[in-house]
Amino acid sequence: MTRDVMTELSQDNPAPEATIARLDRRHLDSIRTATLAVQPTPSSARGGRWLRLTPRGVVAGSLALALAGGGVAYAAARQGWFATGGGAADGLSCVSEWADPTTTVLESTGGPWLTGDPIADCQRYQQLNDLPLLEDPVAFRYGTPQVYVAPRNQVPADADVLASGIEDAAVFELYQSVWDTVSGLGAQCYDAAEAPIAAQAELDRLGLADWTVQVEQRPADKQAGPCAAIRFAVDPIVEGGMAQGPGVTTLVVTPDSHDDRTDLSGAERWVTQLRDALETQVSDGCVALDQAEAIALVALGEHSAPVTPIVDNAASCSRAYLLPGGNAEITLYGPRSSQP
Amino acid sequence: MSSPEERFNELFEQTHQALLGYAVRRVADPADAADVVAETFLVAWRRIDEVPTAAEAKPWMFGVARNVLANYYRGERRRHALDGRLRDQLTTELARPAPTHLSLALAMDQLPQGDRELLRLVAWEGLARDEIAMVLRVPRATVRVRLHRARKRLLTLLEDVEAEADGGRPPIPELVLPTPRALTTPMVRRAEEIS
Repeated sequence: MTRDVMTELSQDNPAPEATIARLDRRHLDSIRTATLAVQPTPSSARGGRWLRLTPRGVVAGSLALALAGGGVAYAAARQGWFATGGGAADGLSCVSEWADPTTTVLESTGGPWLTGDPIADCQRYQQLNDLPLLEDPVAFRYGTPQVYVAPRNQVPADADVLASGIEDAAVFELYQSVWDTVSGLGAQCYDAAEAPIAAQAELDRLGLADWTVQVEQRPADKQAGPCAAIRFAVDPIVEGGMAQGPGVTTLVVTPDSHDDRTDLSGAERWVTQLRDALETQVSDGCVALDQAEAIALVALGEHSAPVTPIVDNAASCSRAYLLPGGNAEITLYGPRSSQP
Repeated sequence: MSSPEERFNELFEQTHQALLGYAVRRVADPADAADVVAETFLVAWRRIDEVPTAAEAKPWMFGVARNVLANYYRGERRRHALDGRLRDQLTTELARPAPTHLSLALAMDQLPQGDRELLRLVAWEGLARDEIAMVLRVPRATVRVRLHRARKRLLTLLEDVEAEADGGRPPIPELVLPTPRALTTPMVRRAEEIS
């Protein structure tokens, strides 16, 4: 009689269903609550497709703003946990030697998008890990939303090569603003009249003249809320700026359809405190970029989160964006020194 | 047609327990499973229009969780801003027990990672062959063949381990038991098969 190893293995389950079922359901619901606090990006609104086998010629150099170079070593020490591992399902993974990720765990660095340029971000992740920069890097997808960056000679033949990231730094900042919880678009609770004006003002501030604001009425089957939802018609991160056709450069405003996110319900206390510090000390404090970064790191305390300072010498004060929901991601824009 | 929120709530009801179990069985610290599950649901919420309905939802979610876990294994700990009580509860109530079947644990540990995961998807997650094919993104026939071979390899290894034990030889020294394995390599990662 053949031995049934599968039954033996079933009986050696370290966490049987009955054990899982005993967990307090209220605590599990915190996952649902925190997730629903994040605006979804309906894939039906997405258009276009990533280019196939059209490698980029150069590292995207069109970022209008340069990554701040100072404090990298300090930042690495504080942010090592996220920079060492590679991207999440919708993040970046930076690899010097490619292997099929469906059969192999890649040796990689990476994490969330930092600037909208996957190649620049990956070079920063390499830098944070004290690893050599990737040579002749190319960004591509391989069957999932996750974006990989690898040397050109390592790119698999069946990859969907990303012809560009979010080449326009302003679009990346718009992304930060839409998802922000400090003082950007996402951090406000606008009524039906205010929301399209605020959305257009943000486009104007960022110089996105080809973008439009479209107001849509809340579908009858969608739950009402006190605030307007402001979202992208096409997610610039997930689609990497490669979507084609109408609606790609559109902010959609849906009045009376969203909860007030300003209370950060469902978030841990330190996230709320971090948001408050960024709001009162950075956004309201009119500080230079170095000070803003220091404030963010102090406010983080023992917690780790990517802090990305981006130099904007045209600004008189720094501005801060905090995106919780995934992990807490902080992006700071500001001048190298305080303006008179 | 239901709203995205309703579809997400339905998905959550349908899959959260299975996903949590899947994650708990594959992470070093049970508390980390909360982050894996939260990350998986965040991806699903952002792509809610693409989540299949009915029976295909669970293997689709397992496929997402598998990607999330791959990143976790690489050392990325994508910490979510969750209620700390969930982590506490996972830590206290799901403290990992020692394997009850030591020979089987040792044999499993000697299997290639791909075989191990395949066998666990059947034995621990209770997935059918076509569901596993969705999770691993391979043809169903491939699952059948791989499963047949993995089961045979496990049986052979198990018999070897038991024979060694019967012969009075000590178990393989320094062998890491199958739960958790090689999850704490934040700076030095090695290529490891996962399917």
